[in-house]
Amino acid sequence: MATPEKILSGPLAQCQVDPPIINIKPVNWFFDINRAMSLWPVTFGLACCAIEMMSASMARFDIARFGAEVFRPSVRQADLMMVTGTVTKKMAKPLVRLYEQMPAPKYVMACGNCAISGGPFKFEGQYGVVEGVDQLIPVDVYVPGCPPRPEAILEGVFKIQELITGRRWWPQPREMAS
Amino acid sequence: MTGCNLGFINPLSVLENPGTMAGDFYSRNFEKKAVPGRIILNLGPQHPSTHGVLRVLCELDGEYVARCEPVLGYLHRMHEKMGEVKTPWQFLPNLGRIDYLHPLAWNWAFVGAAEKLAGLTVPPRAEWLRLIGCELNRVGSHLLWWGAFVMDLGGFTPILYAFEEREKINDILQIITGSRLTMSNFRFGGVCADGDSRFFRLIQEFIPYLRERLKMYKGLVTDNVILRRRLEGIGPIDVDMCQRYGATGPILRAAGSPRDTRQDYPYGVYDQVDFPIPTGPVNDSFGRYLVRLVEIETSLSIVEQALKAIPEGPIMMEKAPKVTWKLPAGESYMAVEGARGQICVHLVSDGGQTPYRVKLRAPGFSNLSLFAEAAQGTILADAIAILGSLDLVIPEVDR
Amino acid sequence: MRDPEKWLSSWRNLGALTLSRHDLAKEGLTVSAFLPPKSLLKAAQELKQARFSLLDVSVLEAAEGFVVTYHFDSLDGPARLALRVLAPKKKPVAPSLWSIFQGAEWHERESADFYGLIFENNPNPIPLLLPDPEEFTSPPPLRKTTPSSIAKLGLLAQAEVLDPDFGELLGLANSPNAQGGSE
Repeated sequence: MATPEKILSGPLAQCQVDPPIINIKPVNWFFDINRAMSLWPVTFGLACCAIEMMSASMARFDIARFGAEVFRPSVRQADLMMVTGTVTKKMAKPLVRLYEQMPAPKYVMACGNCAISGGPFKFEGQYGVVEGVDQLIPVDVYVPGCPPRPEAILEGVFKIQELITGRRWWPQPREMAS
Repeated sequence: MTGCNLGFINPLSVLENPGTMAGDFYSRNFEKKAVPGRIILNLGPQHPSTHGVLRVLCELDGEYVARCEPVLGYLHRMHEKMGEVKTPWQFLPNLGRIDYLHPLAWNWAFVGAAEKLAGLTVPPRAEWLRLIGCELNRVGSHLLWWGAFVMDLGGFTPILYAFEEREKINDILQIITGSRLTMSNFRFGGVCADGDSRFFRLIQEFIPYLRERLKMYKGLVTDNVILRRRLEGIGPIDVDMCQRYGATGPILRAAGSPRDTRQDYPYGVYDQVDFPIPTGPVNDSFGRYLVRLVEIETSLSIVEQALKAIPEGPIMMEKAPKVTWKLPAGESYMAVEGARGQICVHLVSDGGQTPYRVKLRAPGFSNLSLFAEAAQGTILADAIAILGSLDLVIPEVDR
Repeated sequence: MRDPEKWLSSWRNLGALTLSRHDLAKEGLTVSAFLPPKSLLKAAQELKQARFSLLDVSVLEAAEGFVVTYHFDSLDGPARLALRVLAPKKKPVAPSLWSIFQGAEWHERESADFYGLIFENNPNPIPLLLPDPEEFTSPPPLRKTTPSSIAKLGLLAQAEVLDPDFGELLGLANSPNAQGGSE
């Protein structure tokens, strides 16, 4: 397995979070539920998966039912970065810069095979693609697919909500529950 | 003032000396010709428009774009290198991902080039299925362009309607391709799956439904006074500019030249369908908008003719190439009319396992190259309108 | 619109090295020619005046050098043709068509990225698709370790070879009467 060459000239992205000012468990629990039910994604569509992310926010699949409909173009107003699409080495620096500009607490969803591991663009002799966005920034949820269906992206959002609050809030589809 | 050490870059010295700003290689190169007093602005690579990761370096004189330069490569996914490293069968999934909004046209370009080189004949039912798929895909691509373009201009509602129509088209095309977005059901010598009765019934129901909806969109959006004022007179691109930059597709047709690859170099069964070529009355952004809406209607009428003409029969040729197939030595050039313009594949092979050279000519590449000249001297908001009217998909430009 | 034969005779006057007639249905071209680099600009100027536009600039690496193919298409009807230039490996330089067709700037920058070719008089010869040279230090990506010869690729299978030195360089049959049939 080839070691990844150094893509950035500095250390990995800065992602330290200060401890909360009021550290009482019920208050934290309350804030966590509010955060989970109103995630604000950033419009970070890179490639084909971006169209499925858009479909997930449109009328048929409707991510607004679960609170994550407010897509913000500016990262400083967003808290969920859905990396949808291939990350090239040229895009690596802007991506890390955008991640560092997001205020904490922030969550990252690697959507699609390219963001998870380079996807179909990982081959012998490849020279331009970062094999997985987790080489650059810490990732919370991986949603596989090429591209993942909008239902899969919604399940990814549910998983992020589960990671924030500790439980899944929405019914499981019959096929998944078994 | 310029002598004191304030611990950050002194703004006055920066305005006098634009070359001292931090930036990367491209902005430093762009600033070499910068005029003092103007702002250098980066549009992208991350921005709210939907075409993808495009970065445009603009030099703004107040609100006017004095000079701009697109910077590409943020989504360069090495398709041409993969064409040389992978066998023809292994390369087929790539074609769905070059332009994910009209993947069946890219499929046709590469598979058609390989079939021309090897002299394969495709059975008629497969040709008609290819045509139906490609035209429905074109309708979906134009609908998404329409919704995204109006969203770029500030109107958020039409994209919700556009995506709902697209979902219906995806339901239809899922039956024969198996995918919603990055489709590749073309195989060397035919297509991989046949359409069943549900497929044809859904198309029969979809065509009159979309025609009704198009009337509503005309009343609500096309005749909307805000859209008209935003688009009329903005960004005229004439035939001479198209000739100098190699622009094709709706841009060339709106400029007045009735060039359409489906009629100039007929491929498949396009010589057996009859359709008009819309040429715009005016060559500004509104003309390009109208040409694409008329093309949606044209594609629907082509699909109607195809539903009547499609014969029964096999969907793959006899003795179709297997997975280990090698292309014979030689070169071929196949052009296909995509939603954005003329898609061409220049395929050269030396008889080995993998092709020797796969050159992909994307229409968006040539269309975007005229943006720097078309947007010069316009207000920034109008430059965004011109960019939207070019209908770009950056993965196709960067390949 | 000009007859393809007239293009062949005008290229012959410009000193073409080879001339080919093609089968439009199979190979996608009507006629093509190898030109010496100094005649390319004049030929492109004639094509522009005849309302042709530049489709793309496609480069491939053969054993004898870089074959730079310029594809042109007419604005008046179907008439696709190609002009080719051979840039030897020792001096990988090709003329730039930017002064005639401004769209050529980006096609040439892309080819320079992939092969390391230099296009003279290109106004902005910085990388287009690859990251900037300060960050990307790998060799040009599409170079081959064992390139095939032009004869093996079948590019000039039915060509009329006008220049004997060129035919010898490529190892082609040297007779001026090798014609392919075209329907």
